[in-house]
Amino acid sequence: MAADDTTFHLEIQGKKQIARGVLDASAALQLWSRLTRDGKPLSAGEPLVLDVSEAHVRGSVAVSVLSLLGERGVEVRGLTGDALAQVRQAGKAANTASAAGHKPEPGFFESVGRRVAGGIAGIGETLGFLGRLCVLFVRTAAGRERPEGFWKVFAQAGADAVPVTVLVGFLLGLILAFESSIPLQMFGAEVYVANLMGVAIFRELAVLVAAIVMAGRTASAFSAEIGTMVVDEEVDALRAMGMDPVARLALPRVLASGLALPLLSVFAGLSGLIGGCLVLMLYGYSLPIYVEHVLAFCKVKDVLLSLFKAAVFGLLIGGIGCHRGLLTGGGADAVGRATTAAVVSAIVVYALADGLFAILSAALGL
Amino acid sequence: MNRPDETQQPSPAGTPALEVRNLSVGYAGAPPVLRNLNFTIQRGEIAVLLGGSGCGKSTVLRTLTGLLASVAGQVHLLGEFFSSPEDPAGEAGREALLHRIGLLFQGGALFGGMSLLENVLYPMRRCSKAPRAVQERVARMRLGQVGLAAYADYMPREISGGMRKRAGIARALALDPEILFLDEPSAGLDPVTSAELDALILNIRREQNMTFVIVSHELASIDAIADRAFYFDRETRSLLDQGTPAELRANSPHAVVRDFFARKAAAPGS
Repeated sequence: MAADDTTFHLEIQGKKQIARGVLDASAALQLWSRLTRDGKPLSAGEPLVLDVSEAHVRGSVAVSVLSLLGERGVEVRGLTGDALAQVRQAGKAANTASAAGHKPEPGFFESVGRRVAGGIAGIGETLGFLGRLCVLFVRTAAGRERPEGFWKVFAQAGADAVPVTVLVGFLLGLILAFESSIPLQMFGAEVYVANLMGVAIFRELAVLVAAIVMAGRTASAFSAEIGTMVVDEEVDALRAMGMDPVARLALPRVLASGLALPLLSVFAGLSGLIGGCLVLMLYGYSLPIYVEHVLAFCKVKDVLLSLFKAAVFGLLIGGIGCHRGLLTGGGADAVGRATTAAVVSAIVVYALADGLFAILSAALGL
Repeated sequence: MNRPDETQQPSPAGTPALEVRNLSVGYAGAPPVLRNLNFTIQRGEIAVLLGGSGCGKSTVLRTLTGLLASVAGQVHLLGEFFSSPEDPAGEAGREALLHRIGLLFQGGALFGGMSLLENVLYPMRRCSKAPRAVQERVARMRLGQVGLAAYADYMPREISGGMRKRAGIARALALDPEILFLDEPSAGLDPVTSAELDALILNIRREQNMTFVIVSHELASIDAIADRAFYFDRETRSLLDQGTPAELRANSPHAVVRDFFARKAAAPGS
C-alpha cells in the first residue's frame, strides 16, 4: 500500500465527512478535536455524518473515539466486521451498571453512628487482645507456655537498639545541660545543672528516651512484620494448624519489649548523664563534683520506680505494635498504615500511662 | 519520547517482534540460570515459554521486559535494540519501546489504592494525550473485554485472585501494546475462565496482530493457542527444543520434552 493510501485524511461533503486512510490513535484524536468541542459535537441542528467505510480503524483509541462520537450525536456509518463489533463492545462496556449497584453516600448521622460503632468494636477487640495476653502471661509464669524465639526478639528489640538509644540519650543530656546552664549561669549556679540532670534523668528522661526509640524502632518493626504475615496469610496458616497467633507471635515480642525497655533506660540514662557531664566540665567542674551533685537529689526509690515504669511501658509498646500488626487489613498500603498507627499509638499511650503514673506516685507519696 | 497516540513509524515488514542473541539470564552473584539463548519470535505469533518448575522461564520473561539485566547477550524488540548487560533497558531512551509492550505479572500486580478503572487508566494518564473521556472509554472497553465491566469501581482487595489477574490483563492492554508478555495467565483460574482467556488472546491476535509471549504450564491452553513453544531445561540450563506443541509432543528428540507434554514423571535415577 502506498504511503498516501495509509495517511489519514478527512473529506468534507456538506454535513458528511468521509474518512480515508488509517484511522489510528493519532488520527482519531484529530477527528475528535475537529468534530467536538469539550466533548460535545460542533454542529448544531442537523447531525454530522462520519463515513468510515474507506478507513482502516486501528487500535483501542480509534474504537473509543468512534464509540463516543456515536453517543454524542455524530452518525457513524460504514463500520463493519471487527471494527463494528469492537465499537459496540466499547459502548456496552461503558454503559454496564456497576455490580455493586448504586451506593448512596452515607448521611451525617449514619457516618457518626458507623464511627461510634466501629470505635466500640475496636475497644472490644483491644480488650480481648489484652485479656488474651494476660492469660498467656499467667501461663508463662506457671511454666505452661514457652514464648517461641524470645531471645532472638530480645536481641533485636534490646541489644540492637542500644547504639541509637545511647546516641539519643547522650544528645538529649547534652542539650538539656547546655540549655539549663544558661539561666543558672546568671546566678553563678551552673553547678546545679548536675542536680537537675540527676532528677530529670532518673525520674523521667531516661525512660522517655528509651520509650520513644522503642516506639519508633521496635513497635513499627513488630507491626510491619506481623502485618506482612497477615497479608501473606501466614497468620491464617497458624490458625488453620490450631495455633494461637497471639501466643506464637505476640507473646515473645511483648515479653521481650518488657524486659528490654528497663535495660535500654539504663543505657539512655547513663549516656544522658555523660552528656551533661561534658557540659559541666566545660564550665570547669570536675567529675567528682558532678557525680556528687547528680546523686544529691536522687533516691533509690526513684530509680526503682523508673525501672518499673519502663517495664510496664515496654509491655504496652510491644503489645501495641503486635496488636496493630494483627489488625492489618488487605492491600499494599495496609502494612504502612498499621506501622504508622503503631508508632503514633505507642507514643500517645506512653504519654497517657506516664501521666497516670505521675498521679499515682503523687497520691501514694512516692 | 513517542507517546502511543502519536503516529508510530511501523517497523519494516518481516522485522521480528522479538529477537534474542546469545542471551544468558540470571541474578547478580549467582551462576546464570539459562545460557546462550538464541531465538526469534515473529509478529503476530503466540509463543509459549515452558519447562519444569525453577528452570528460569519467569527469569527469561523478566529479562525480555527489562525488569532484570541480562548476564550476557542482547535483546531486540520490534526491530530495535532493547538491552544488553552493558546497556540495560532501564536507561533513558527505552521508554518508547516499553510503551509498546505490555506485561501481566503472575498475581496481577494491581495498585491496591486504586479502583480497577483507575488501574487501567493509570498508564494512559502517564503516556497518552487523549482526552479523559476517550481514555475512560478505552479503559472500560478493556475491562469489558476481560469480563469486568461491572467491576470498574471495585478495589483490588474486593475481587478474587482470578479477577485481579484479568484486570491486570486489561491494564497491560491499555496502551495497545504490540507485544504482550504474560506470566502464567491461567494459573489460579477455573477451566471455563481459562478457556475464555485463551479465546480472548486468539481474538486480540486476530484483530490487532498482537504478538504474545506467554509463560505457562497449562497444557490445555498451550495446545489451544500456541503457535510455537520453547522448552527450557533446568539441567542443561539451555533452550532444549522449540516447535509447535504437536511437534514437540510427538517428535522432540529429547525424552524430557515428550514426557513434559505427556505429564509423565521422570523414572527414579534417570
